[in-house]
Amino acid sequence: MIRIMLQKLLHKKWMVISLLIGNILLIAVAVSHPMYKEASLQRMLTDEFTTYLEDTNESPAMFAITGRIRKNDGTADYQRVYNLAQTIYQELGLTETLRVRQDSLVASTVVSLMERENANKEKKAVIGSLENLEEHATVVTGRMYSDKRAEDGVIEAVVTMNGFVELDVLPDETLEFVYLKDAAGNKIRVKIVGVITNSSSADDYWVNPPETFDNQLLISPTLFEEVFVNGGKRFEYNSEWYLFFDYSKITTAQIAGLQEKTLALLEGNSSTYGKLAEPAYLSLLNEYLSKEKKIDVTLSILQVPVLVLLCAFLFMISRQMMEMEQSEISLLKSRGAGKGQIFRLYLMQSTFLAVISTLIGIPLGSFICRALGSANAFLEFVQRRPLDITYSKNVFLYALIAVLVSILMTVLPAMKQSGISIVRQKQSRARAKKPLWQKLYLDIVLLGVSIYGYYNFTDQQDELQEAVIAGEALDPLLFLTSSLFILGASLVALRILPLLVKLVYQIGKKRWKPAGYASFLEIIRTGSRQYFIMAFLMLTVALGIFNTTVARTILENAEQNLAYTTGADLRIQEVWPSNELQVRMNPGTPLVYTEPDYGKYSLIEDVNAMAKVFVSDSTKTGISMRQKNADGKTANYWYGATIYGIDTKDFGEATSLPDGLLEEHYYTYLNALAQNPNGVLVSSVMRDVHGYKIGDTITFDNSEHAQKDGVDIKAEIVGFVEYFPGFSPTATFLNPDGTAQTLNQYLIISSLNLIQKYWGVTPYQIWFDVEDTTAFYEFIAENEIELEMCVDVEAEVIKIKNDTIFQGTSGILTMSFIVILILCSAGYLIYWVLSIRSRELLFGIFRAMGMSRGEILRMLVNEQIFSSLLSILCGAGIGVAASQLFVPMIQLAYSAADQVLPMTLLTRQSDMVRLFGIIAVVLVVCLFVLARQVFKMKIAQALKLGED
Amino acid sequence: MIETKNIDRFFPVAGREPFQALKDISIVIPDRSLTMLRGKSGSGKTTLLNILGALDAPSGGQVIFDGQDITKLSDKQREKLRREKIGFIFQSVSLIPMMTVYENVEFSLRLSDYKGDRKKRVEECLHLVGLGKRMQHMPQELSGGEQQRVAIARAIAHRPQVIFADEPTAELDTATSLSVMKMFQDLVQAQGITIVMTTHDTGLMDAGDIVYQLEDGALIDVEKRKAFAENEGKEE
Repeated sequence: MIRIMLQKLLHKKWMVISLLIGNILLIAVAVSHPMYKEASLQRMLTDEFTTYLEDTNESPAMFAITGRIRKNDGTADYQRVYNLAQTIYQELGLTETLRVRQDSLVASTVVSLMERENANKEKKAVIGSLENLEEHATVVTGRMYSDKRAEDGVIEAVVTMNGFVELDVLPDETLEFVYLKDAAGNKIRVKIVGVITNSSSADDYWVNPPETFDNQLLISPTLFEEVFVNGGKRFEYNSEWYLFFDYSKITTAQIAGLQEKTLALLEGNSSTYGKLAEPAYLSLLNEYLSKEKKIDVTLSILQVPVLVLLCAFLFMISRQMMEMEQSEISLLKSRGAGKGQIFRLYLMQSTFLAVISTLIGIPLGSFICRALGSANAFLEFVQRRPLDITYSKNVFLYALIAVLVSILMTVLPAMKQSGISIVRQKQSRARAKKPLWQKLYLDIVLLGVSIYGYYNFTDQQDELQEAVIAGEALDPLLFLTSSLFILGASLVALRILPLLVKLVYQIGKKRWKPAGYASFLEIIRTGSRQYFIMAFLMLTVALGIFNTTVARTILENAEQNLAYTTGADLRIQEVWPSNELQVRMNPGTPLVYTEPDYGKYSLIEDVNAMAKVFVSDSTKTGISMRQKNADGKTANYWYGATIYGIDTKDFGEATSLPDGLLEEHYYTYLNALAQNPNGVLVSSVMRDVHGYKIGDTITFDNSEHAQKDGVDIKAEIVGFVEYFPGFSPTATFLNPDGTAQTLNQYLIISSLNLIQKYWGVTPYQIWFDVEDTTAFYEFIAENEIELEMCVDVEAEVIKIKNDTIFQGTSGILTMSFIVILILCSAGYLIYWVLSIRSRELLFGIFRAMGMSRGEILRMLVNEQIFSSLLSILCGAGIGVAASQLFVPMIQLAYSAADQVLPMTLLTRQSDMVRLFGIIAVVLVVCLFVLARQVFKMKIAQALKLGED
Repeated sequence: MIETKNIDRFFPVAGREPFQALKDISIVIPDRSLTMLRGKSGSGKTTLLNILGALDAPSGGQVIFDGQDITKLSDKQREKLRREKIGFIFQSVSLIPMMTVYENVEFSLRLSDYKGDRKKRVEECLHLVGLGKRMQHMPQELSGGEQQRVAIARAIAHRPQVIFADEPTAELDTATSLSVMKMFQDLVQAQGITIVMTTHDTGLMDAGDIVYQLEDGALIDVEKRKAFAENEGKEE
């Protein structure tokens, strides 16, 4: 049987190659899902810990455990946390990196035994110890303590610099505790032998920095244990453990368990005398888990269409293979092979191919995964920190599922065929029957459902947005709906296209040349056999267009939005020297700033333009208006507003606005402002909601200057702007009840002169139009300029691009697109080559009847035009329609609350050129192959085929 | 009249000497005759038929068709010859599966650029073979004999001079075979068509005017009916 199978495979090498391609891609795409997900989640997890560390300067990977022993309490609790400190790593499955133990008695009164001024002055001190102190501390003066108690019972201690000052002690001074006695009844005496400080400022050991030990006498842990813990007398003391672990070793698989166990430990260790503090990583884990779900859903949804397409491809090829092998099957049957045997033969063949594919598919999957990890935008890859790819058991599970699906897809047609006898085979060639989906109107149903879904989602845009702001993933139904739309529309087109062909055929029925006539009849009469390749082409093109649009739209809208909300390529604000300290000490002194040199920036390379922009804090500045309240009475109302003070010319040069956002050209507004020194531009909400007109006077103020006279600025409105660089006309918040609320934002743009005239020269931002920021940052570093604020659009864009969701989306859509192109090319070629082979006898007859090779080729070209080309055009139409309908909603899921600019659908011409260019190449190659086949064909041989 | 002069046909065989399918065949096929090429499978009869019908070219020798050596013709000229003067009938399904019975016959008229009323001619031919009532059927819906009759109707529709039939009765039962042969005889007599057919069936040979017997690519025997034997005698 194996021999038969191998022979069969060798015979159909093209078909086998196609099946292999399909299988390999299916397995690769399937395994790339868990691989990519796990690797990118791992990267995200590590990034989250690192970012936390960078932002707060505290390690999130730390446990703080406290145990207290008091006169009558705490023994049991203390013992519990003591044990916890020893076993917590094992319990949670973490790797310890650093352990800090700090013990301290409660504060007690001491007097000095040294003869010095104020020697008898009582003060409180604490006896404490830090494990491994000598490894992390440097002795500033004196020496380290001894581990032994001196003969006279004195215990040696060191103090930190702060302790030295606060305790007011001297080297070699001995302190005596007034109330603290050891087991023998002697007062405890401690001698200061040295002053220490931390060896390194970046040492996790100093969770409590040396400064905090301002009343502690640090003694040897050995002595602490000997005298105060096991000394035979009960002392009151506290123990603290700070346990650090290696967060880079946490795997994503551990997270859920880690979170659960940590919560359980917190629950069980929350008493006063034995407590585990909530570790900072817990919130990171929560955040991670919510993101994980979102990423998982998003990645899965995005991959589904291409997986379905792959299955369809496998099904199509194996059905075609089966059709070609019908006579072989019949032959096998007539020689006595049973249904089961034939079925087993195909099962074996599928399994064989699937196993080979797995061997190639899994490494290919890991390659795809690496490529996904370096996806920067659609069809764009960059060098980036590579993903750490692991072969988890999920990878093999997915591979196994893919293999099973692939076997199912390739064996399914065999199930049908193995029941066919020679008689039935001939009958099946009779008039083409309507396919099941057409009889059931499945196409109309699918399209109907998707359009219903579309209207439903359109109605629920608010809810969608709320879900997004709340951090939920893209609604899988939304994506499913768009896929259903593409499928439904393709099937409807498949119902309509043959009618169209029939119409063309009928129009010229009498006049068609033999070639055209035969090709029309071929398309019309054997149409259903071509449905699959037609549907496949439509889906391919439609999905290709849809994917490119989704990918481009999501990323580029995010980028444009970022560029707009930032306002300029680069925004900075220097730290301005001021008399702030003086003001604090002598309230009433006016705050005066010293303006840093502004001109210096113009020297920097790559800076095209720059502008001073005063930007106020909208909680401190606002507009006063007299308005009628609900009772109909007029009252003063104050609306928080952002105020820009700009130099119109510079501002116009340093910023830009996308076309079409404003009613007139952006510069028209700036010019209007420039011409009226007392004029302001205001956000259009002032006109639309509050009824202001051009020429009206508006009053705005700044609470920082409330005490000063003349702080209210009265200005004349010279224009209304809906959008302005850096300004969001609305802000969307999530109410505590989960509903989203959109509030209008107010903006006033005035000249910088006007602002400075009233409010003085206060810190302003500088907005830059820069080509490349490298030189700028070098300049900042060289001149040691201190920046209060620095927003760099480029850096922010990179952040977006590195975001797992964005990156995964770009990557998967790119991968899908490439897979689609491969499938489309392979599917199309194989379909036509096979279709010609299966028709060789027919062509022989045509040739015998006197048709030339050219005519046969013309016939095939005609068939291509009316089935393939039309399908491609339909697919393009469906793709565009699907994009128009669904991309805006899908984009919502990515843009979140801060999408300010109206969304625009984006496609890049280059993507389309790629898509259609490749399709064109495939068509041409296909024609070439067809022509070669036709010209190679020998009539006599073709006819002989019929004799067997 | 078709005449072959010393035809040879070699087929290349990978790695070996070429295989000689026809050895020095010289035969004459008079007009208005039913000529049979008889032989076992592999005797070369189909190869000979293909050469006579301008589907294949001999490796050596001449084929004179209406006084013209067709081995010298270009592809185009041969296609024209096949379209206009020749009809083919093959052993098994030689109908175009996606065309109805009517369309199958009409298609040969389209190909030969038939100038008359195509519909009338198609119906005429189908009536002639007794299938006037099944014109809108698809070939697959007909029995083997019916299909072969459609093939005959198609072969004669464009009024060819010669019909070449390759084992037209091989897949038919005896009764149907006989009726097909009867039809051939009628065509020759009533329509004045020349028919050349191959067969391995000895039972049908009585129907032929001339029977050429082939074996291993060589002509080993000729049987002629009286009328044709006499004609030949006169000419000589």
